[in-house]
Amino acid sequence: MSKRLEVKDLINIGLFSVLGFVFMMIGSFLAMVPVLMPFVPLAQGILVGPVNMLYSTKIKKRGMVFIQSLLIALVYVAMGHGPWALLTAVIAGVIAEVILKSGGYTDVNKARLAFSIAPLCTIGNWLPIFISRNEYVKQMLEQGYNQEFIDKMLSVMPNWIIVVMAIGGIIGAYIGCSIGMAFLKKHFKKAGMEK
Amino acid sequence: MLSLQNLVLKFDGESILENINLNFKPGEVTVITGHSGTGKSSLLKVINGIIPEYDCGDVKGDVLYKDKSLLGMSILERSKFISTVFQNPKTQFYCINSTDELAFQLENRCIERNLILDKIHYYSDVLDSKDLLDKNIFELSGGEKQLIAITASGISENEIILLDEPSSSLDYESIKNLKRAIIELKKRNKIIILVEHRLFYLKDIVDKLCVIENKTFKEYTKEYFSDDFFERVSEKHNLRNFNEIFKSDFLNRQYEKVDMLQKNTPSNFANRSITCLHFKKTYDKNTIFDFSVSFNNGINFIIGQNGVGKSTFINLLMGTMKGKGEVFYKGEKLKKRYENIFAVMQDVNYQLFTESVWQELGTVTKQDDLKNEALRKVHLFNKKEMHPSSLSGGEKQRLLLAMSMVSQKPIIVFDEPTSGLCKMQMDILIGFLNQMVEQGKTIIIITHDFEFIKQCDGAIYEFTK
Amino acid sequence: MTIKLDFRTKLFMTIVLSYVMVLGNIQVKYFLQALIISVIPIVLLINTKHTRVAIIGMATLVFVYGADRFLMKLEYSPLVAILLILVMVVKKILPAFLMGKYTILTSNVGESIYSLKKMKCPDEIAIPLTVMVRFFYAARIDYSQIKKAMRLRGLTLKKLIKSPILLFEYRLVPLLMCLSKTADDLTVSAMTKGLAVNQKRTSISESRIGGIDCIFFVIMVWAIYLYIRGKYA
Repeated sequence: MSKRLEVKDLINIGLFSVLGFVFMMIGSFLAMVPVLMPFVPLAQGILVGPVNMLYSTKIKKRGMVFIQSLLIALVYVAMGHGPWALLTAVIAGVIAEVILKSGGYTDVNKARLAFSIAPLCTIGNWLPIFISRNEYVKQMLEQGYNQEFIDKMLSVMPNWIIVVMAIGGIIGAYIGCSIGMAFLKKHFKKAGMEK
Repeated sequence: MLSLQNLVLKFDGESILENINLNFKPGEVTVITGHSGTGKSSLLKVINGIIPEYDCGDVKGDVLYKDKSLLGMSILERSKFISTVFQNPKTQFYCINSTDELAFQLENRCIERNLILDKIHYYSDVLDSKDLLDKNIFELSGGEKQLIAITASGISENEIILLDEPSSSLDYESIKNLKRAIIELKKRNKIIILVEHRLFYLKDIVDKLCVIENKTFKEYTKEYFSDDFFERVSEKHNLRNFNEIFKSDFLNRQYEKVDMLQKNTPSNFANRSITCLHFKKTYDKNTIFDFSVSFNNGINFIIGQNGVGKSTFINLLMGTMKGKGEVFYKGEKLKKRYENIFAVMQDVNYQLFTESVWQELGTVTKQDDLKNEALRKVHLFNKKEMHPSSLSGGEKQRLLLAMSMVSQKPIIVFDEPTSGLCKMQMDILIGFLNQMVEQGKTIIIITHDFEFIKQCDGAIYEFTK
Repeated sequence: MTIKLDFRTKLFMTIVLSYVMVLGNIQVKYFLQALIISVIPIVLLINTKHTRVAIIGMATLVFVYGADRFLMKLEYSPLVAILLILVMVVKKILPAFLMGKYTILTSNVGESIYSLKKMKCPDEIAIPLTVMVRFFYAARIDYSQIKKAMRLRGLTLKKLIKSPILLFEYRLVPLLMCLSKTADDLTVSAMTKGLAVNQKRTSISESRIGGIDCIFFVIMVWAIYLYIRGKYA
């Protein structure tokens, strides 16, 4: 079997990029209630995990996770979320690829680990909120607001929360992937869909 | 000329087809038929290269085209002279826009833009698909999708055209268009090979008939063809009918014309089993229907042209769509309709949720003896631990039939239950329908398949506007 | 007259807006210019008759600019702080979102892919992107069918709400089975139509950078200039 991606692989990348994106979108509806915003990556991870575990059974070659991460990020870029997700997609994609490769593309546990990281490709979408807020604070200082007022405002959403969100995302995806593994055993293996 | 020589096909060491010797000439239409699961579709896959490149399978013997063996060629190489129209119109499209889809193959061949547009223009005119250009394929009907697929095969100007059960989900009007397109392609000297269960539309265009049976084939050439011959062949191999069946054949049956825009309530509703009163549905300010209708106990067929609103009506009846109207069953108004109606929809794949046949039944009833009995009836008892998705199309449908039997719901609705079924499976289905009638259920069936209606007793309702 | 922009121009505008408007301080230093830039996507939306989206966008824009002024005058409280953060984030992100919405609403797949191909986008990206849109439609149709079938089987939300994983399973597994099968069928179909990776290909789609694209290109360069001046000058 050739190492290069074939039509079949590319069509599967397309399918699972769309599913990945859709479930991420569903997860982000949580942000409708602003207080729940930090939990979005966790919810996204849980939702997208089962889909990705089925995807992992179709991956036999290098590059499929990386391209999936990149494509999901690209859709967000085209939707106006800014180019930041591309950066996190490259980082998360490469890490996931390395993990998958270490498992020889057959190890389910390695796949779960890889797909716990891969959904972090969209964590970059949150950066503008933090960056723009920090920028805004600077402007407010320039306009003569006092430091105390701004510190209070910052305490509502400290910068380190993005790290918590990322960790939440990993935990969520790990749970999601575990559910996915159960589905695989229960359904897809039995139905002979896992090639 | 395309020829199969001593072709043997094995899956996992078990042979499916043995010693197939067939020749296909340009300008000839060859129809391959036989019961489900006999390997008809696999034969096409060997020709276009899907077996062994994509699906596993062991091919022995040879496939020759213009004296060159195809077996060493990839799907890509064969795509330069073989086109395939697949069974499922929904899944064979790469593009969303119909014109893009028509151009797709020529784009891949690196043909210049203007030349592609000329060819699209020419073939869409010849094959009568002009009205379908530049549309969103997802908004086209099954028949229109299939017409786009066949136009694409014309545009490719490939010499060999394979069609895998192209009519299985089409209504009469679309089948007529399909037939017209096949005739046009035949005129252009193509080698045309069809795998089909429904045969009535092929009677006057077929040049060679092949029946696959017991891993091998029977070949009948044009010299023998006559009305009498077709009757004997379909009798002998238990095939579907070669004769077209018309509405006029049903004159001796209970036959009602229902005007879907006629508001007033007919008087004969009193003694009937199901009454749909003042059903009204509007879409974008257009009234799709506004009428009342009632059905008897037993089997009721709903026929009517595509787009008349049959599916919308059924959805409203089942309560899966919003709209006005009330449903009465034996004089009582049904509040939660879906609690009284069991549906077997056209695509059975959407309707299976659990991990085994046994558990699937468990979502309907908890009584083990009922479940066992139903499984024996539909011949799935030895498959009760299997995953529903691993069953064949016919088996999935039978599983749903078993569920409808054990469910306490008195009304059962079918949408195109015979699509993709061979004669034998159709006969089995009819047997089960009759059993359900004996159980006292009321059955409503939407169908375009007049042969099925003819074989099966029941009242006919023609929906018109 | 309808303005027809190349996909590359739309993508470029979306990225510029999402960068410049979010990171810059244009809104503070050049209030009028910021408003003009924010209104560009709305004008484009109206031009292509996506009036509903345009009205919603315009209303949100007016609202956040108003709310910003109002909130700044209030005494501090945690609620005000949260609202203030929300308002300023929306104010910055909205133009890019509207531009993105415009890109998605007005782009046709064939043209977009052709455009990307002109930018030397490899098939490894282009082929998945093409089928993504297709699968998006397919998934929507499949999902609504599955939901309908579940309801008819009595597997309603009410019944399954106590076991959310089961609900998730019943909805997700058939969907994945169907889509997975669609992917297989589609692969076979595409291969028999001569699709191969990184082969030379023509396209019936047309796309070229025209005069109108250049105008918008210049406007974006102006936005970048404002961004740099606002920040460093």
